[in-house]
Amino acid sequence: MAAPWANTYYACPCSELSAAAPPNVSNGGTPLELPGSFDNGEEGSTFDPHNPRANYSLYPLDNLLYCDECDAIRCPRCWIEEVINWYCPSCMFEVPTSAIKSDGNRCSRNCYNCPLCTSPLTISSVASPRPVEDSLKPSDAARPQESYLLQCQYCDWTSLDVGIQLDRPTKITEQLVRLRKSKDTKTDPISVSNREETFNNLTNFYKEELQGSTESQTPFGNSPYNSPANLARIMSLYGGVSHTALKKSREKPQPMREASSHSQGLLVYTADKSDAEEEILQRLKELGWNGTTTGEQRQMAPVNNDARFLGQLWPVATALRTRRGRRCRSCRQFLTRPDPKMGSIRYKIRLLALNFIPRLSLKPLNAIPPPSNPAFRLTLDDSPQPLLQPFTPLQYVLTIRNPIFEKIKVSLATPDTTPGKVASKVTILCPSFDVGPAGDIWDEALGSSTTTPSAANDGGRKAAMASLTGSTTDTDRQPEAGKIWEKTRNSTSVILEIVPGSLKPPSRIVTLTKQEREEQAPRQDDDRLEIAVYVRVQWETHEEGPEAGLGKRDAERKMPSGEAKVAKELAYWCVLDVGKIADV
Amino acid sequence: MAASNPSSDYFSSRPSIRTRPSPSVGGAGGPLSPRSPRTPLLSRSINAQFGSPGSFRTEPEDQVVYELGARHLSAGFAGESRPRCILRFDPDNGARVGDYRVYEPFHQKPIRKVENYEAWGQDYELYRSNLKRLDLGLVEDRLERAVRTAHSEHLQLDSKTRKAVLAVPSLLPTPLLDVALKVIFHHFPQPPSITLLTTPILACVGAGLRHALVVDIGWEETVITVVGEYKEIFQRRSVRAGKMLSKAMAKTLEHGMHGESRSDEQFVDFQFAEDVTERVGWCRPRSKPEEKSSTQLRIPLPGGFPHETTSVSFENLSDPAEEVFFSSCVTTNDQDDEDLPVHHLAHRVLLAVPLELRAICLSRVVVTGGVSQLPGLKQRLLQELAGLSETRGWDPVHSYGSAAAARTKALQQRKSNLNMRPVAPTTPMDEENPQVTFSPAKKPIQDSIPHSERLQDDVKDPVTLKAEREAKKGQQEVIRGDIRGVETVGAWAAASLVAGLRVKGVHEIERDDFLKHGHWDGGAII
Ligand SMILES: [Zn+2]
Ligand SMILES: [Zn+2]
Ligand SMILES: [Zn+2]
Ligand SMILES: [Zn+2]
Repeated sequence: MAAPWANTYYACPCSELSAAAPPNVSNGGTPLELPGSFDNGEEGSTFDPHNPRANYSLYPLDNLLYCDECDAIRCPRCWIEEVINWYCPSCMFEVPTSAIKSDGNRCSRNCYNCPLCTSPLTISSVASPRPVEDSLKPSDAARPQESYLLQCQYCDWTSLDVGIQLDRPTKITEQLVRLRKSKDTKTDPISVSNREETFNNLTNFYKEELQGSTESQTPFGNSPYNSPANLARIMSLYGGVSHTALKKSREKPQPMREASSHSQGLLVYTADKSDAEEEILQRLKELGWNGTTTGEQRQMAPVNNDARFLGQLWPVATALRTRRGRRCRSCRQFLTRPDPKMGSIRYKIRLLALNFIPRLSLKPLNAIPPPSNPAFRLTLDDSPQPLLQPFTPLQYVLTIRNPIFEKIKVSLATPDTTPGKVASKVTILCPSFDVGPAGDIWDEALGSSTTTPSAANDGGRKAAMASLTGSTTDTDRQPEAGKIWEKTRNSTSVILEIVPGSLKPPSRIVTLTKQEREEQAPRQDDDRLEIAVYVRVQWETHEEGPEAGLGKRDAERKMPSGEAKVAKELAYWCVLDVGKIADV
Repeated sequence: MAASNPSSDYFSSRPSIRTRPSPSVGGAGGPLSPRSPRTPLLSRSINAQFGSPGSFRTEPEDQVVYELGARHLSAGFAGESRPRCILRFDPDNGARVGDYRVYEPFHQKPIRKVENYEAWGQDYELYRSNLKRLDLGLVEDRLERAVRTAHSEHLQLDSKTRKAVLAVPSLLPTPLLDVALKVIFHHFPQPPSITLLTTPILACVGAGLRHALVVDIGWEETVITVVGEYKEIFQRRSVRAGKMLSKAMAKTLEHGMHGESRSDEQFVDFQFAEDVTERVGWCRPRSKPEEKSSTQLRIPLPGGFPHETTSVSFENLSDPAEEVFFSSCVTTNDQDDEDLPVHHLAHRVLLAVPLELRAICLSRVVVTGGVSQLPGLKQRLLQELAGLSETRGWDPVHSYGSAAAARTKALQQRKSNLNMRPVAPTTPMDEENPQVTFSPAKKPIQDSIPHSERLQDDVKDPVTLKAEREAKKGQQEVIRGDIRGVETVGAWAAASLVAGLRVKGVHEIERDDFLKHGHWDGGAII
């Protein structure tokens, strides 16, 4: 798994929040001179990573796709998913489409999960004499042959805890359905299957009512309903009955009866007597906190929605998973499409954004070695980065790596002070530059490029390390405005100067109201310095027909014939995580 | 919004107490406009295809049913008794994709100290009815993510298009309704239409009834509605609801842990308070038991070391419900309508409707909403209602101090034989009812029908009702008068029932219409 907090997030421009371009960057073919920094005065024109909405359009690069027809980034909001197969993650059995809905999108074979901790349950056999102290289980004790139960290896829950014992180790689902039905709703006023029963009773009742009406003619001749005109007026009074419905009601204008008995779905209680509530209170007092279920347990599966007490929890059939293809929302072409054969992990189509859009990465210019080996850290959360001191200027190397086979022109823009509660100053020393084309993998590995395979994707770090250890001639180099810091064949690094702001709000004379104070109070991640950079990429490509899209690794080298060049452009916000600011 | 807006004149006469901005309440011509049909009509309007018995379960075209509340989204298939998923909104599901910190073993949520009642539970709700401080874009983002999760993880829909049914609280502010419709319409597979149903009606349908007093104890508000013939006849609301309850539970826990003295500081966070409320909170009966039970409950502290617990007496766990729903710190006369204890509110609502309907509803009290799960609450409400009807009866003069109000009520009472539905007191032409007693927000939808369009509503004439009832299969005596509660399967299940039965919802919004108008224009559909 990746680090819990990815270093760089990319905003899909599909929401109005992330589509906003910085001021004086117009979208129509203006010359590609972005101001490295811009004044953040204009409201709404910049992307604030601390805005709660930002979380809904920011993704790690690996999670994004790219449509080469539309030349646009695609995120879960702008792609359409299409299920290719449904399968059980436990037995890996592919479930035919016809059975999916009726089985509740769950495995109907022998796969069950623990209702307490969600671990898979195993089937074990027990010699029959059951522990005597277990009062919950049914009393038909005298059966000598083996019986079976479902058992959790992780938390030791067994189906015996809720009185479930099976006769056979196969066809578990069938047996469980039977057992659940046999749980008598009359003896247990708070039975978890009450709702199903009532629902079915109501359904049947309404069904009969509705059907009855279609057959019988109106039994009372002098009813006001008899006048269709009158009825129409009443209907229109209450508005919007559809015309067909209105016609229907003219034909059979009788009111429905109401349910009048339990068998029709009517469940009553009075001020003096409510079996259900009394029973719940009784058990609550007896069982205490530890006998009750948590919200997660109740919501884990519909079958446990009404389980108030642990003794009511039912084993949860394993939820199916899906393998899905993804289509572009605007042109409907497949962006990813797994091999429909189950078990295959290959993709027929896979247009990952990381193969199309430049990757940004940020490293301190004077890297401090991590305090300890990450493998020995106790929690992933205590970040390896040292805290940033407010008002202390820092220099960072921003590396842009080009994944496509064309040379790209990149220009960057960022607000000169970060939006939000903590105002940090940011300057990009060289906002516009070129990045060379990517070669194919062999070029990189065998070629004479400056990067070694191990550091192939990170020239910036190498440079930073080099400057730290002084092993190259660059030791005395100073970052200069307008100058590129380092360049490899398909990556370019520039320097960013950052002055972190203070977490303390500027002092005020006026005392704040409670509500204002709460709004001012730092929320989670407010101390995290993140820089939103608007990245604009331009390149030219040979358009040789629909198949010759960019970056398709299989597509052979560019045909030399393609003289018709097409200019392309892509712009998006990218959020760079710098680190946490120290609270001083 | 509709240019000709018959209900706009309410706003000129609207009392200023109402804090909610007017656009939120049916947006000046949205749901409140006369042709805005927020009420489903469960009359004899079924599709002919339904005629063949047994076709119900195997109906090939299935519909997706959503229930949207302030705190959750439930989704599932029509005809099923339970939703496939109940997704609660919480701060965790607002994290970035790829932010795995919540899954880490030592992850601890930062505990936010919340002093202010407004902010209590804010991260756990999708919206609040006070739209002023609400970022609708964020609501859309969150809802979009929830719908996507429901579709891809729980419903696992294929690309077949399905109609959708959406159950919403009645008088959900129009901008929010627009957001919900937009999200569902845009989501794949895009439904060709969405049928809108409101929770009070659904609660009634889900109880098997045609008329009911629906007490919907939700998150921000308790809404009490008189439903007659599947229509919202009269409605009032109070802020005594789930949010207040969990806050009160937090206070009770604080006292248990630290004693009264430090009650101004907040140690108990929202999630803990809510967890305790849901798991072991209860409501005591009206009559005090002879001896106080001394049962103590040990409750483990969140984030503490394992086995670190706090001890609370079982008795105390019923205090919050007592205080929030039934205590009247001030006399009812002075209390703002919005702050009435639930039973007083129910009493007032019943007083406002004619005798016959009141008697019917009294035997059909349906308690629904998230908090209705609190054990003891439903029964207690009935006990309180019985108590009120004993001490005050149903003569409004005793309960309303001011003569003017009494006069209004009396007039309404007198009129009841002619018209079961209380005439909207704010209707300008209505000379008999000059009193402005409630804002449009609290008015049932039907009341906003202009006077000119109103007609003698003989559907609800008690005589007709009776005649019908007697004629109809002839035997059943309608139970009325005795105070009685009826259980409901809840809004989602009832919506599933209605959709599964192919009953035409009154308000079906076509996708094309919605997209054309950009938002839901209440009048334009039909
Ligand atoms: Zn997108
Ligand atoms: Zn399986
Ligand atoms: Zn387990
Ligand atoms: Zn496309």
